[in-house]
Amino acid sequence: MALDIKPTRSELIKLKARIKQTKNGYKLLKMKRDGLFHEFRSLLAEMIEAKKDLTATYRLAKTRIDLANAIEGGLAVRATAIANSAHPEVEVQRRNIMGVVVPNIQGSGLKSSFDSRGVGFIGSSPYIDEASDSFGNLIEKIVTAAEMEATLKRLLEEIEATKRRVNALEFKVIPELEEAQGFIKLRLEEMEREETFRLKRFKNK
Amino acid sequence: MALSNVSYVSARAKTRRKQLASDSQIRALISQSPEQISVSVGDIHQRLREDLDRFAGIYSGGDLVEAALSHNLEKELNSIFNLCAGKVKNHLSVFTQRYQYQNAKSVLRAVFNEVDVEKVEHDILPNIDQINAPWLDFVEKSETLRDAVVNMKKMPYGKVLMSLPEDSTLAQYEDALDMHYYAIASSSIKGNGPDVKMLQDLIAMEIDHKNILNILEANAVGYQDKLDQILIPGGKLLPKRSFQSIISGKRAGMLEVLAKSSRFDSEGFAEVLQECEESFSLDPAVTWLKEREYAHMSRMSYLHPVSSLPVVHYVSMKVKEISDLRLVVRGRLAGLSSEVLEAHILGA
Repeated sequence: MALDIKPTRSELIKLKARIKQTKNGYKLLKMKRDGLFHEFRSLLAEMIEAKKDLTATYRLAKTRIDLANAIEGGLAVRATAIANSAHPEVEVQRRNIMGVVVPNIQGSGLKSSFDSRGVGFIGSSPYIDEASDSFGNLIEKIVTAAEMEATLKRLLEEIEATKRRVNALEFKVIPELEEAQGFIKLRLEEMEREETFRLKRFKNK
Repeated sequence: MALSNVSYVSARAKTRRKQLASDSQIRALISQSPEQISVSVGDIHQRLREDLDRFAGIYSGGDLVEAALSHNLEKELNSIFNLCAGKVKNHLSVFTQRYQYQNAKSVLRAVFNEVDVEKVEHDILPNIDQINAPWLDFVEKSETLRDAVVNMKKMPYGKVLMSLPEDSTLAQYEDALDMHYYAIASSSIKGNGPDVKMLQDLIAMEIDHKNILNILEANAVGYQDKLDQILIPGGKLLPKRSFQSIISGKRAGMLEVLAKSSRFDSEGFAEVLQECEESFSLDPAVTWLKEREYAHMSRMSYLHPVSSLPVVHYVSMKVKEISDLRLVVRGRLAGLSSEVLEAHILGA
């Protein structure tokens, strides 16, 4: 490798400081990578549970709406659905995990209470009400799972980037700096020896 | 007063009842593929086939079969209603009028959420033969909930709706409609004969079952504090005099009242409630109570063959036929298991 550096003492001092700084940065990045990985693993376990829960909730909601459609009829289900004027809202905010900005999803009115569905209680159908409840649960779980999935995705991207930086520091930047440091040291020693030899020769004359 | 044509109508009702799809015919549909099932439904009656053909240009799949079945039911109810006169007509109207109340609710819901009349016509009140034209007219002419109430003021329940405050909610109007229906149903069937008593018992049983389910549901969804607004008077298992103890004791209070009744199988019901708790659903209770109603209906038809009872029994069995066919078709198309479908086709 061709080194384009000046073999001077001040350069050596600068290089030493840079190596120290880089090694500190390397250690910090490694810690960040390990921390992110730890966070990722614990979130992943939660995510797997949340996905299982989501699948089970979806199956239940699907069975219940199918049963409601079959027993009460699609016309009755749709007639009940048009009474609902509640609009679920989802607000996406940001939060910070070790410098990684991840979404924080807050939902309001995701699961409507019986009152907010608009229909009367006396003539309501338990099948339609149970289906509506199950879909309310499903939406809540979808929002939770969506937040987790987006967080995991962001964490994974950040882990990858940090890993690349750590590897670059470990296998390229630090070795190159150390090589440059070695080169300057060698060059300085060589220059010192040349100077000593030159002085000796000058003295002998 | 119009003379009653009881013997003729009850004979016609029995004949028509025999022509209804049998349980085995309906169960046979369960084993068919979703592609075949719509065609096979048409093979049950020629009239069903005609209705399917009429709706085929507008709907497909489960919606097609359901629209055709609903239309068929409305035609059949109108036809049998037109055969009746006097007391039979009066008795039968209790059972046919409930669809009017249902349609009135659909109108109120559509107006409340400003749903387009075209969407209402397509999704909720299909209008072949202009059968739902008056209801769609109400939707079109009303801008607010109160407008809809004012437009429906000449209907049998108009006065009740008009008597509510102008700022009433949709739920309050709907509850008032249901209360009015059951009040009219209880008071319309008058007389002292054994056939009239059986009919009164049937209405009382429906009211009791509605109350039982509503109390159970109120308990499940945290609506117990409003029990005083939702209990329907007119039942025999849960008479009006027991309402106060039910309101204070809630679900446990209701079970206590039921346990005191010799006409109610409290032990069987306790097992059903256990099933409900395990499945987090009221489905087992609904099915169990529905079976009780069918058993009562089938008894009343045979005990008083020349009365309004066979006609009411026929109408109920026609409704059951339509419900069962819809259950099988919708269920099969949605992929519900055969066991689930079988469990909901109740023997009558």
